[in-house]
Amino acid sequence: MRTFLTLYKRELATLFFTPVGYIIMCVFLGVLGWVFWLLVQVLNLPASYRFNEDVFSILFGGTFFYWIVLAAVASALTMRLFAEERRSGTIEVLMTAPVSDLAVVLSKYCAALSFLLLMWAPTAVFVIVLSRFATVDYGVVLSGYVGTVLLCAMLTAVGLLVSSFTRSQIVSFIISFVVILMLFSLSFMQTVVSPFWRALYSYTSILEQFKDFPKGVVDSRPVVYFISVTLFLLFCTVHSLESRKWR
Amino acid sequence: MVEVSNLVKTYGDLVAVDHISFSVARGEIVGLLGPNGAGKSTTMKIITCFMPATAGAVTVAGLDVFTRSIDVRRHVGYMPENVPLYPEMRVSEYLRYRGRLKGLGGANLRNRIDAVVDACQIDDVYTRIIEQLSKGYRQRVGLAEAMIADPDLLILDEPTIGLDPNQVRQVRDLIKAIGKDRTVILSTHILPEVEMVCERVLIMHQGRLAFQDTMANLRSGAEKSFICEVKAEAEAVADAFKKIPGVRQVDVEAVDGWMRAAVKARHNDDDLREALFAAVKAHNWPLRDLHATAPTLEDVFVNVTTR
Repeated sequence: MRTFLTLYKRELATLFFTPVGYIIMCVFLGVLGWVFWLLVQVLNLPASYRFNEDVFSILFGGTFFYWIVLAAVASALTMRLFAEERRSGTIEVLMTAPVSDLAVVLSKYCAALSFLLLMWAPTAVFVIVLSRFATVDYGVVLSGYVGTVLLCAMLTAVGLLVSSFTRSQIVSFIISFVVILMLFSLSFMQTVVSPFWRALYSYTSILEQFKDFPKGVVDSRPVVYFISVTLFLLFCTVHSLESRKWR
Repeated sequence: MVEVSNLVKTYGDLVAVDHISFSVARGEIVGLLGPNGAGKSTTMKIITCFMPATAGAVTVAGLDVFTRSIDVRRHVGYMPENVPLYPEMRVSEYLRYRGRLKGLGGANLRNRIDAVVDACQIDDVYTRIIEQLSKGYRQRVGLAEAMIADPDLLILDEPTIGLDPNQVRQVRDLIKAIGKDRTVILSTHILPEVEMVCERVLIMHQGRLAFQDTMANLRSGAEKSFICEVKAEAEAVADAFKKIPGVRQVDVEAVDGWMRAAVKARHNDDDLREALFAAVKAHNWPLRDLHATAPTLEDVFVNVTTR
């Protein structure tokens, strides 16, 4: 536990001490702020009144910006975690210290996830601002955040696993970005495959699993889905790190 | 301290380390030599638990590196080739982080940091960011890091590369000082360094252990020869020197107008210089050089690795 905390602090410090973390955060908050403003504008148009939609149910997963930005941000935050250690050779120093592979994987994962969730914290301003001018359905806001946390947890695990395969940050970024987009697109593909596969695609589709959260519904099934996929990906990352032993 | 027996490491079809066995006693400073690609770094990576062997066994302080990996790592300080460090950290942060990772804390950690900063002479860059440091300083920060937890076994992969001559001397003295009560295995291409620092050498070639001996044996067992340069006919020189009692072999060659005779004694302990000078004086030959030579580690190295 002590080694985990030591490792975790260093990983988190690196995210804060390098400009990359701040650039990612700025882009992320810029896009989300812009989308929020746009939604408020559009929903205020007289033509939108009949939809009776909540801003937050659209903000969480209702626009493609949400998905693209999350895919990009998760890939960018995780790209250097293992790739940079491999490239610079510090992995050798790291793995010859008395630390377990699991502690290394978990510390990197938790640091990236903490940073990613921290980036969401300023979006609470949206809720505060809106609550002064309109009634906010806090249930929708809360379940939207719960879904987002679960989704972030899973995407961070995808990025971390990909980063453990390569020594190039750019390669890691591109591959995890594409993989995440493909995971998203599984739900579109269910319309083009045979009925047997359709069920499988539907069960494994992130979009399908996510769709209840912005409606204010926290079902145990998607929660189990996101957590179990995350744990599986972390398990794979530990073994990917161990693979240096049998290569 | 370290026992390596029948160690084999293959990367696919490539055999990097091929059945090597050696042991290193506590308190010994051992130089691991060999041409590039001989398997030195691979051997070091296996001893430090970075990767496991394909076959064979390695124990450090009686612990198997594969089954007791974490325990072994507590005994080992390792400085890999090219000294990888985190460029965005300050020296102080890095040493504190690595110390904590190796289980130090509180006053103990502060004392150890003070000790290694002092020993490696990095106090004037202590608060600087590692990225801005010169190669020499990085090398010493890496060395300080390897020593931070006061390990029983220090494994250094090319510790003096990139240092200026003064720094090389400092690091060498430092290694010697550490070697008084710790075990050190170091790899290098700089052979005089090994002659100065190490008590024993291992030479690897194409994955095999081609040579191992103590420096003392190497020095005393080596066949000396006496070089004498005079101005005279080659045959006359050879005849005159062969008549000296105790001479076994004389080789003469012309070197820019002078005759260079390499004379070998029958008994290795004999010093022939006085007799050689007497012979030269008797013939009244002009003399420009007379000295004794022993084969250096370099000669041994070249001999072993070009077979």
